[in-house]
Amino acid sequence: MNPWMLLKAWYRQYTWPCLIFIALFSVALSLGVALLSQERAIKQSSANVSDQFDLIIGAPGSKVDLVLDIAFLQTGFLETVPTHIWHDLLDDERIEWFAPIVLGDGYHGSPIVGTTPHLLDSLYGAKANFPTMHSAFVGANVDLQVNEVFQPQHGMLESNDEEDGEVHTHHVDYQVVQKLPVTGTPWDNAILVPVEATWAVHGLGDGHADDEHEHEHEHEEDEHDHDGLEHDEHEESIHLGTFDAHDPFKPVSAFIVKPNSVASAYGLRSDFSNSETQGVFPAEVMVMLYALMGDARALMSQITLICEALVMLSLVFGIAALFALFKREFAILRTIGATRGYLLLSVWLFVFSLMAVGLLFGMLLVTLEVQWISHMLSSKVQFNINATLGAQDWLFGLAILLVGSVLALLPAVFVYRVSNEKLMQSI
Amino acid sequence: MLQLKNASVTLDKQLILSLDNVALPYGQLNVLAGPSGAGKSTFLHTISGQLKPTQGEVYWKDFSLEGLNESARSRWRSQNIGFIFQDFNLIPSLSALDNVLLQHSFSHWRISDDVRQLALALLEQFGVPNVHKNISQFSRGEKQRIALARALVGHPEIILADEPTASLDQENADFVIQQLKAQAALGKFVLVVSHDPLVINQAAYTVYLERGVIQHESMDAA
Repeated sequence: MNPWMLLKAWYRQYTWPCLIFIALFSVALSLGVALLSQERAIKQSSANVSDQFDLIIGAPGSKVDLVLDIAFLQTGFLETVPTHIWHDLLDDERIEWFAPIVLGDGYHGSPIVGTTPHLLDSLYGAKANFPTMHSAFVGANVDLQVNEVFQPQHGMLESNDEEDGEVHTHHVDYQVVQKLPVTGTPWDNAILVPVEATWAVHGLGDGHADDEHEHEHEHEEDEHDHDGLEHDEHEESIHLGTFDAHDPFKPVSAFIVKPNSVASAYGLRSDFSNSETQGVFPAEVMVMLYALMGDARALMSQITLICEALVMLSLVFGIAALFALFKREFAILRTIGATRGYLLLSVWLFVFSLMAVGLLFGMLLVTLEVQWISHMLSSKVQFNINATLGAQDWLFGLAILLVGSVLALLPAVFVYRVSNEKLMQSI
Repeated sequence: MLQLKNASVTLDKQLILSLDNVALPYGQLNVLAGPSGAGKSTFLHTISGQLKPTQGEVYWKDFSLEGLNESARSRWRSQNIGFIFQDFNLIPSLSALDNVLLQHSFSHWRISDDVRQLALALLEQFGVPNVHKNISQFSRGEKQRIALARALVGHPEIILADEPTASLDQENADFVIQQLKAQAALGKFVLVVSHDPLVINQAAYTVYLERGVIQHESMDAA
């Protein structure tokens, strides 16, 4: 038996219902697959962000907050790390390098990060130093160009709307010296300045011992203006980003630490997890978050599968209703010699073929959808999310098709079970 | 010879057909006449194996359908019977040629060239102009010619026609009757259900059915 001729007739006869069936099926399938792939991409992309940081040492508190604030530059509130930790880190031989992170200021929604050149190298591959206290390196997404001058705002506000009266602009001019390459992380939105500058802007001095007295004198002269970085001589006399044990260190939000080995990393985390500090592996925190999300993902997958099955079921019942209207046609076919098996196979193949075409279109559609959704999500979370279709997405699609192949039996069985007596009455 | 012995058909607890003994010969135009609701269609469905008689048996040249299951009866029908209907019952979204070949696809994976050639020859013989056009583009007379070609393409021994001329003009009705007579002349069994006096007048043997019972039978005097 060859049902193709009958299938051809039905495709022509029910062209619009077929197209609607395929469209609904492919859209439902593609949305389900797109959601699952996005969830996976968010996990992968956020892991890429956190993987840049081996160990973060911050003040005690929420590990998640610490990772979100430092690795993802979220605008949370972090306690500062006691200054003597500098000495501990400088003396520790298990550390390849470390970099302070001072948060608190921003410019048009971009966080200003006070740090040292190690971070420029580590995050952006930029082997550069801050040439002056006023120099700033800006991430690829920051709306500032090289040589442009800007004044930092206290706090990481989203806009420069001074009318609300809450924006305090520091009267210090930073000048952009370099635009940093794209990293696809929240750090593309960051402005990196010398850590000394962030202290000085807040009237804490520059953290260097050599010019301490001069700096104090300057401070006395302008008690109400903490933004004084006026003395070029002073700037020239310090080595930005270079500290030793004699420097009068100032508070920082956290330290990024690069241990020289895995064993050192665990040792450092252990040693710096006490009443004053906590050592956090960002990757570990993310794994903990993913474990929580993992349960949600399994649930989401099941819900998606159920939704797809319900869509298919409703479509299949639509087809069954359609066939019920054409009972006479089946009666004719039976009269001229079509067996029940032939009709069962034809109806099943008809519904299944629509699902298979819907699957193909759905998977084509999902490749467009994931790009679009990734783009939308990336703009929301400020790091690049690149969702791609993996083998598991195709397997999910095939699982849907498998369920569909079973559901396609419903109208087929419906046609199969109609008795000859009933059919003959319709001729 | 078609024979029904003590056959009755009951549907929904209602006796539709009750036939003591019916014998209709091959090789002539047989007509089954009677008013609406007399059981004519049930008679056709019963002798074609679509309905099993509640009692009695149907014999075609001493071959009984009784022992065949439904699938086997469908296959037997496909191979042995050509049907013609009042409303043609063609598949509207298929071409004339595909409609003629459809029945063959029930039992074959591939339509052989011989069958395709025969279908084309029949359609040409019956004056169907463009065999690749959709059914909806043909006139009623042409549709019945296509239906006739579909009924004959499998070389069936039995041709059953249900009011084949009822919706046709005189010319097309004459054409259909002549074709059916020609098939009967080849020794085939031809039974036509009809009210049409034109058909009844040309019948060699007429059975009058009323309320499921044969009222009388008549042979053509000629």
